[in-house]
Amino acid sequence: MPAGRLGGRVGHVTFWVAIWTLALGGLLYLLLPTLIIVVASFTAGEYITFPPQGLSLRWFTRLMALAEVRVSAWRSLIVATAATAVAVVLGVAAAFPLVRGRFAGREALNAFLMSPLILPSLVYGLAALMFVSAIGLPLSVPVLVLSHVAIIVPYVIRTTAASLALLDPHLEEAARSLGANAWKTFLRVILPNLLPGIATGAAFAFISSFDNLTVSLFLAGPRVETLPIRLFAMINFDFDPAAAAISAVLVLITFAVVLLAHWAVGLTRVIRL
Amino acid sequence: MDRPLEPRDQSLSTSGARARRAVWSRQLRLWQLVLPATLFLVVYFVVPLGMLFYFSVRAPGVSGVTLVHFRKLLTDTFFLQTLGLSVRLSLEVTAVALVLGFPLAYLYTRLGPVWRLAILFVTLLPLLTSAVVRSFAWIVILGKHGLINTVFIGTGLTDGPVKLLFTLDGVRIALAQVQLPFMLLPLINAMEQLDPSLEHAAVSLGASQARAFFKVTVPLSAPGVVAGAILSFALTISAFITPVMVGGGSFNVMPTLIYQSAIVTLDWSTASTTALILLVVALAVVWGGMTLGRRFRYGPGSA
Repeated sequence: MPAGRLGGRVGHVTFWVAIWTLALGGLLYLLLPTLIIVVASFTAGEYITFPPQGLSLRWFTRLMALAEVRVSAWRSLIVATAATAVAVVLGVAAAFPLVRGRFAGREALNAFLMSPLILPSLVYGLAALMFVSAIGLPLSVPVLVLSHVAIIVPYVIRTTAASLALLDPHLEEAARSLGANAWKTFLRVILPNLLPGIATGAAFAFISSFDNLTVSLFLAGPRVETLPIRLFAMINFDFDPAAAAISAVLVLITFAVVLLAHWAVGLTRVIRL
Repeated sequence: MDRPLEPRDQSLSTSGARARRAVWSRQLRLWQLVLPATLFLVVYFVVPLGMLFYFSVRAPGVSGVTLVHFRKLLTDTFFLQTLGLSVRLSLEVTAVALVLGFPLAYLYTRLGPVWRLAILFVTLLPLLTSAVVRSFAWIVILGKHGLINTVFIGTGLTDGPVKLLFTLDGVRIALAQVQLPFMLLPLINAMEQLDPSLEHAAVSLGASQARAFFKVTVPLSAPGVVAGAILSFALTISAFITPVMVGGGSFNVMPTLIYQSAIVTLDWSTASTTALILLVVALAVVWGGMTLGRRFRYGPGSA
């Protein structure tokens, strides 16, 4: 049946053309905004347009002159670093009993510790604002740090727990039977093996704190402005093209985080964390 | 709270009671490591959410618990329209993400390591990019002099600029891009478990490639579809930044209502009640989806 086989081949080609078209369309769709904003930030024109009107670094130069941007960027860096540090200490410690412990309610505890990932961050921002006002704390950088810790600690727990689950318990047994004490085993055997997982979790935690707008919007107030809040205001109220330059820098940082995750554990494993 | 010891640990011990005590204390110490994170989240996560609940069931002049805020909102036409719009928008965005995500996830499982890495990179980059930056990029793309209008007018597709920025369509386009990674990752994880020889068998038995795809791969990927759809729906219905920036205040969704009540009108009771209704709707969809997903996994179809 040559006609039938030809029909089959045409159907085969049509099928793959359709799959490839949708898939490449999807890839372009995913990539387009990132590409556009980076290219547009180099415009020489008065407005951010795509395609850009000539190329220049004028908006990056202007960025240096904007004191509020400098102050808010510095504040965001401090908040994200502090929140990540606290989250790493809390998260790495919690991962051990969640993977190795044998106690009642371990699964439930794990679900509880992951729950900030599921709760809309806007709802958490509102709840945190009510809580902070009720106990009479003034809106400040430490308050902001703690609220960020609450939403980023699951990232660290998750990646650390995933690395720990993959760690061969025989390694520790070997270290212990060769005379290493518990601390030495932890520092010399366990920790180095977990480091890639912890680093990936910390990088994701850092970027979610550094980029967070919804929680900060409730807790920051005018005196504790972070970079995302400044950027939000520059785009929506000031229409300042320097916003594109900030965006390009933020994309670059995100790029670095993805590269770090790839270098540390490999992207094919990152997606299973 | 510790359960009895593992048999392995016992068999290693020479002197039962002492070893048991030693291991038990080690288990106790191990158990304690979870306390700091748990206590922190109880104080800084559970208590705030408790306050949210408290504000939604209390009213001035009313002693005890009252459902007056819920009654007021759920009988308000404007509120119900906003809730309806939020649900519809989330379903539409999820559907678009599924239609674009499924072929990409399918190709991922059929391609070599270089392609796979490229797909993962392009997926993770927007996932981790600031929502403010992404929305700003969409403003540049969708605007009156943006990329889309430049192309449309340049190619003669339309005479004048198409209004996309500050419309619901613009928000749909931007949100679907935001949700695509969340759809893709569960799909890829689910499809990687599938044996490609199942599809090959269907083709060698005479099915066309498309028929094998729709009759074999699509049904077997149902758990991934459900997982991705749940995630995408729950994240879209609670999205705030994209509707505000790309929508430009031209319409309200549930998160913008919460923000307005909390920050603009300073009505914490209405804000809390709206937030709780949003949570209940999102959780209902997650629960419904998970029930559906379980049926796919253990139902007669998979037997």
